[in-house]
Amino acid sequence: MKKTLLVTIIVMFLLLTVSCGQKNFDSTKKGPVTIATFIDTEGAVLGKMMVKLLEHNGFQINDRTEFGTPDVLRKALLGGELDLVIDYTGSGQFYHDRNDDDTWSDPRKGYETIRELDREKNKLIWLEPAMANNTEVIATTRVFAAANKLKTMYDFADYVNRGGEVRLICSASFAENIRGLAGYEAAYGFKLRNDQLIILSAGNTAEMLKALVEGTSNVNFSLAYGTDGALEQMNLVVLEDPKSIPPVYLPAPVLREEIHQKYPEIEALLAPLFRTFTLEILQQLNAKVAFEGQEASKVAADYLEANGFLK
Amino acid sequence: MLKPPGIEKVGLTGVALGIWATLWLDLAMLRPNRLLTGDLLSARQLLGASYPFLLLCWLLLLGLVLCKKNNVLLNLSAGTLAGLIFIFCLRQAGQGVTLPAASSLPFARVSLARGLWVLLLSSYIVIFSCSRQLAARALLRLLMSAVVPVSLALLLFRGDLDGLSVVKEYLARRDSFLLEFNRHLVLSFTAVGAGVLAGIPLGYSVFRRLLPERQVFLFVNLAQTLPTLSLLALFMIPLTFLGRAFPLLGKLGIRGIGFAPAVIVLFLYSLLPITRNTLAGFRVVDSREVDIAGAMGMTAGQIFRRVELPLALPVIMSGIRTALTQTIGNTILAGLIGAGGLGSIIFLGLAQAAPDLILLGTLPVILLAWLADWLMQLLTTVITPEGVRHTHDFT
Repeated sequence: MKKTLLVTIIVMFLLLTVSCGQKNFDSTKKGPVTIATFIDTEGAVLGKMMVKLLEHNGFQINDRTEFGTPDVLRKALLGGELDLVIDYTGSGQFYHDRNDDDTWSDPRKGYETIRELDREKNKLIWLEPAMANNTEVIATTRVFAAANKLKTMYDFADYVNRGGEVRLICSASFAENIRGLAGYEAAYGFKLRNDQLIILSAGNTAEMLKALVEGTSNVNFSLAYGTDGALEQMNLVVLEDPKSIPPVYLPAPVLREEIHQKYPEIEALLAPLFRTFTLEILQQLNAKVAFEGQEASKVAADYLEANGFLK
Repeated sequence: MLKPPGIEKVGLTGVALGIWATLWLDLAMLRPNRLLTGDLLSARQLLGASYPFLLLCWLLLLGLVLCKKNNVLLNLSAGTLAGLIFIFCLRQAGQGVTLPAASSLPFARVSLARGLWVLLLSSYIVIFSCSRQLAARALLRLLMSAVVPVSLALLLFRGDLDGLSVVKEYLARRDSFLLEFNRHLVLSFTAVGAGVLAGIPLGYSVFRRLLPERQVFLFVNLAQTLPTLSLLALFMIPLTFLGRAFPLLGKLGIRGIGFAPAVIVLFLYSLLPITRNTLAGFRVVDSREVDIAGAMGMTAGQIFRRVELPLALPVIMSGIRTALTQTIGNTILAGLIGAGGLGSIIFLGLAQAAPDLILLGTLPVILLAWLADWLMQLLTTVITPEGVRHTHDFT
């Protein structure tokens, strides 16, 4: 009796472990292709779209969407562990240590530069990007902007220099980058003191925007990304940047060369999809997930369906 | 058996906590959407017309706890009532999205506030105190402890709790949740399994003086003292190198990120409790018993199998139990290096500023650790030789 129970428990553990570890790939299908994205809303939405589109076209997908932070994702891609990811053209300044020139402020040039560099050095192929600039901007509440007549970064510089109250919440990389806050300060002629900044180590803006809307710790300005969802719904506005200081960040699929040569059709499948994305469309899609709380894969499927990609 | 002292005080504490939460704490928060904080709701606001009914239930429970002593029926009803009160409040919170205040909010959801957690604690305390009194009635006790989990499952199944933010987060990522849950189990059990396979021989070798105790424990302790995160980082570099130098190894998962480094680190962590308890287990075996077995004509192998091992096993098992519960918690960190597991859901919640997503990752970890602990205790009781059951206390 005792032994039977013991054996049963052990066998159940083993079965559980073995059954969890198994993964069968159907050899009649193409692939498998491992798709991974950043651990943010846009990563979830765009990742799920690529997964569904390729699955629909006969690929077997290893779905690792919302895989990790940008550095982990990049490492895994370079290590050959991932096949297809989403990355942003402006990140080239960090990957290739070239943040000194104007290349990254030009959408086309930035894309071509990172495409060349990554192909030569890392055997990675940057496919066609979406023309939606997910760049770093400064946001404030609609009410506050109206009360203080803030529309552009020039107004912001005036406001700061007049001694207006500022509590800006942003990421460490934005605060320190010469194409981030430091670049804004130099270009528009203002300087924020340390006590006017709240610096977070991570770069996800959800927390920052929440602090801005709720006025946590008197935050009245926040870093935001161009395609952040729900800026509209949360009554936030973005300060215009006529000098386009930060780099242009266009989301693009990045594929390992080996996979690209094996399955050239991936490029042909993804290009029309990414061509449909505009800034507004990405904002709306992101808002559905981050703000309304819809399921990312449902949002992705709905979009593909509505635009005729799943015929 | 002696009656444990102060039992009624325990039950009363539970009731007092519950009444405090009902009268003065906020039970839930009605949030307008996934990102923003919303309005806090007290029990009165949340329950509306059934608020007096809840107060009546509390009075009834107070009466029951005051006169229950060790009466079986009274204990049973008190424990059941305590559980039902919590379930009722939780259900009402789940229905919070149907309140008039939520009618203008299309994306409304309800998060649990501290009052509801206090209520959970309160009913746990009352049930605990009642079940102590039912010690002799195993079946009734089981029945009473099952009230909360069973009705919770029922509520979830019926969709009564779909308005809760944490349930919404689950519904929004069912597939990936189940996948990560599986990964979590695989990671934890693989690591502890390897820990058992290595730790027991290691501990036994030290006991037999085949290996020097100081050096072995220096190594095992060192692994335990290093912060998990830095240990993970430490392994990324050589493993990436190995995976690149030998593509076959890379294909098998020996790479800088993912499964291999996570399992290796978790394995190192599980080594200490298992090795130490193996050594301690064999050391508590009375040398006179070994001598007697020898005098009876047993061979060394027989002595090991029939005397030493059975006597040491309970202590070894409790080492494995410690390792398992600890590893289930530690596996959360695997989410940081792309190995998946419930940790990846927690970190996702942190990144997206969605506290209920964090909760969705945390609750199953607690549940798993608790379940593993309970199963291991059961297993230990089953394999302990009857003769030694009363000489050790394993709890």
